[in-house]
Amino acid sequence: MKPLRIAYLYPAEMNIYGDRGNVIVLEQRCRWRGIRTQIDEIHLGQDYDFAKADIVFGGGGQDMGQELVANDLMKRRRGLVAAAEDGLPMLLICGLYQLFGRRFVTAEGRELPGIGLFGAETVAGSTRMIGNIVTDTPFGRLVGFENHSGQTRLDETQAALGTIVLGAGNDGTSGKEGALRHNAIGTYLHGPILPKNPNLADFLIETALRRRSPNCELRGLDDTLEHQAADLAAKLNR
Amino acid sequence: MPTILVIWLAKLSSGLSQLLGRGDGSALPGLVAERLRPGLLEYFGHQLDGKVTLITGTNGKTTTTRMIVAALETGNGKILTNRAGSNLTRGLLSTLIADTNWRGQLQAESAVFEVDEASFPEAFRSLKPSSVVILNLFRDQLDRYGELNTLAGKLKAVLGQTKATVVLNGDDPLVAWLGQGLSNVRFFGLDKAAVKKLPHDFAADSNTCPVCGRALVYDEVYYAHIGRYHCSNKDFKRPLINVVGTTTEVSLSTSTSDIKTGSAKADLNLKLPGLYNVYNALAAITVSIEAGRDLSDIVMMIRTMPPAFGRAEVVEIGRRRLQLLLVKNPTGFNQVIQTYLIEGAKQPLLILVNDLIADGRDVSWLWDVAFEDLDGPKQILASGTRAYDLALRLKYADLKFKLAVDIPDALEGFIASIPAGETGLILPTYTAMLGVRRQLADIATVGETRL
Repeated sequence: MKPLRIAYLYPAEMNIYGDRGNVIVLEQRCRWRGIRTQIDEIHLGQDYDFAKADIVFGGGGQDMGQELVANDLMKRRRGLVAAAEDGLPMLLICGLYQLFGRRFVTAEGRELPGIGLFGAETVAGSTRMIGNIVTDTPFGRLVGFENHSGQTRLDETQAALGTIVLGAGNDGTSGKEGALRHNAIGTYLHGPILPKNPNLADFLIETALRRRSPNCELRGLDDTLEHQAADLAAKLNR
Repeated sequence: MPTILVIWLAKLSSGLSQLLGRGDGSALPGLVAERLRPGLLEYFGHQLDGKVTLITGTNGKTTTTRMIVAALETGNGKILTNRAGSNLTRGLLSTLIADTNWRGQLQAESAVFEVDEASFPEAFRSLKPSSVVILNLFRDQLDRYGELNTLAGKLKAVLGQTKATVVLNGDDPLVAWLGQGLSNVRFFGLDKAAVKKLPHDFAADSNTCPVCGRALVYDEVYYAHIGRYHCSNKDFKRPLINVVGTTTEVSLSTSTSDIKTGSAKADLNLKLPGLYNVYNALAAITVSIEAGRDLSDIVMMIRTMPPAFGRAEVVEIGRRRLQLLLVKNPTGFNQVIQTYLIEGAKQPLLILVNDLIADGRDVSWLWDVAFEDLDGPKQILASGTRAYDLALRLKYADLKFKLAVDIPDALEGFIASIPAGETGLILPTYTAMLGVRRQLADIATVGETRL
C-alpha cells in the first residue's frame, strides 16, 4: 500500500502550541498498525496538489504569521475546498480554523480573507479565552486547552463540532465549539488535541483509509493511558 | 498613607509572616506595599538614581544576574539583588523594602535585578535603569505571557528612545530587532557553538524576519531560533556583534570559549553546563564591560560560579547524587537534552510536570520538546500533577518509562533506584522543583531553599 500522506500546513508559521504533537500522534498510531505515512510539509509559496493528500492538518500561530498565511492560503482555496467536498479528512486548529472560515478581522481592524470552507466569521476580541476546555462531539467527549481572542460565529446552517461542557469555545456565549463540514474539523482545542482524544485521531486515519478501500477496518490499540490522561484532564478546573 | 508608614507596615508584615512560619516573608511585604502605595517602586527608583541594571528574557535570568553581581562587586558599595523567583514587581519591592532603614532609606547604592518579562515594562518605567539586558525570547507559558511578537512589541515600546545601555543577544532575531533605532546598544553573540542543533528541535519561534515577515535564512542554527541569520529580502540581518564568543567545548559541567571584544581577548572556562550558560556569561561580560570592568577581571569573577538554585545543582544523599535541572519551556528542556541526554547518557531520569499558575496551566508545550532525540536513559520515571500528559508524550516518542503520579513517592522511589555511587537527573517544572527541594531538605543538605 502507498503511504498515507499527511499534508501539514505551514509548520514554520503555524506551530506555537505544540501543534506538531498531532502529526506525531497520527504518524505513530499508523506505524503501530503497520500503516506507512509520509508527511508533506507545505510552506508559503510551495505548490501542492491536495487531491493527493490523505489527511490535511494545520495549527495555530502568532498573529503576525497569520496575515502571510492568509494570503498564501487564498491561492489554495479551490483545491482545498474541492478536496474537503470530496470527503478528505481535515483537522484545523485555532489560527487555521479561523482562516478556513470566511474571514478574520484582526485586533487592529484589518480584514484577513478566509477560504470559506466553514460558514463562519471570526472577529478578534479584547479578552483572551484561556483555560482547560471540555466539549461533547460526535467523536465523543474531547478535552484540551484553549487560548484565543478570536470570537467565531457560525452561520445557522454551519454545524458546530460540539457543545461546551467547560470553557468558552467559539465565542464564549453560544455554548458551541468548533465547526464540522464533510470530514473537515475546525476547533479551538489547540496544539496537541489528538494525544488525549485518540477517537478523533482514529476517525481521521480511518476516514482516510476508507476513501481508498471502503471496507477498511482500523485495528484497535491499547489506549488505556490516553483515556486515563483524558479522564484526569476532564476533571481539571478552568 | 505616607510612604514611610507603608514601608514600616510592609517590614512588619514580613516579620510577622516569618514569625508565624507562613513562608519566608519574601512576597508579602511587596504585596502589602503594592496595595497601600501604588508607585512605591518609583520612589525607590528615585533613590537609586539610575544605578540599576535590569535583566529580562525567557531563560537564564537568574544565572546571568548572579554573574553580573559577581563581576561588579568590588568591595566598594553594596549591590542589591533579588533572589530567584522574586522577579515580579512585588518581589522587587520586597527586596527593596528589606534593604531600607527605619527612615525608608536604601542601604545599597546600586541594584541588579532579574525581572519577569511581563513585569519588565513597569519595572523599567519606575526604576529608570541605566542598563538593561535582554537575553532571549522563547515561547513560554503562552497562557501567561501571550505571543512572543506581542511581548517583543511591548518591550520595544517601553524602551522607546531610551538613553540607557541596552545589551542584547544578537543571535536571537527578535531580541536583536529590539535594538533598532536605539542610541546605546551593545550586542553579544557566538560565532561558533561546538554543538549541533537537535534533529527534533522545532521550537523556533522567531524564525521569520521581524521587519518583513519572510523566513530568515540561517548560516547556522545552534538551538531554537538562536544562530547566525539574515533576511532573504535583505530587510534585516544579524547585527555587528560587540562581544563575540567562540565556543570550543561544551560538557555536562563545563564549557570552554574564547571571548573577543575590540582588541581585548580572554579564555572563558565556565564551571556550568551547556551552551545556554555561555550565552548567559556573554551577556554578563557585555554589561560589566560597559560598567567599566576589564574583560580579564570579569572572566576571573564569573568562571568559578556554582550553579544557581535548581539550575544544575547537585545534592548528595549518602553515596547517591541527584542533579536538579529546571525545565520550564521547550527551549530550556531541549537545552537540557542537548547537554545531558544524547550520545548514550546513562543516568536514571525523573521528570516532573506540574500545571500550577507558576508552571503555566497549559501543558501543550511538552509536544514541542525534542523527546525523540533523547538517547541513553535506561529508566525514566514520570510524575507531577500532569504525569499522565507527560507519560503520553513519552509513549508517543517510543520511550520506555514508569509512571508515579504521587510526587513524594516518585522522588523516594527514584532515589532508591539509583545505584550507589551514581547520579540521577531530576527535571522538574518550577513548582515541582520547589516541592522536590523541600522534600530533599529533610534528608540531605540543600542550598538556600527560600525564594
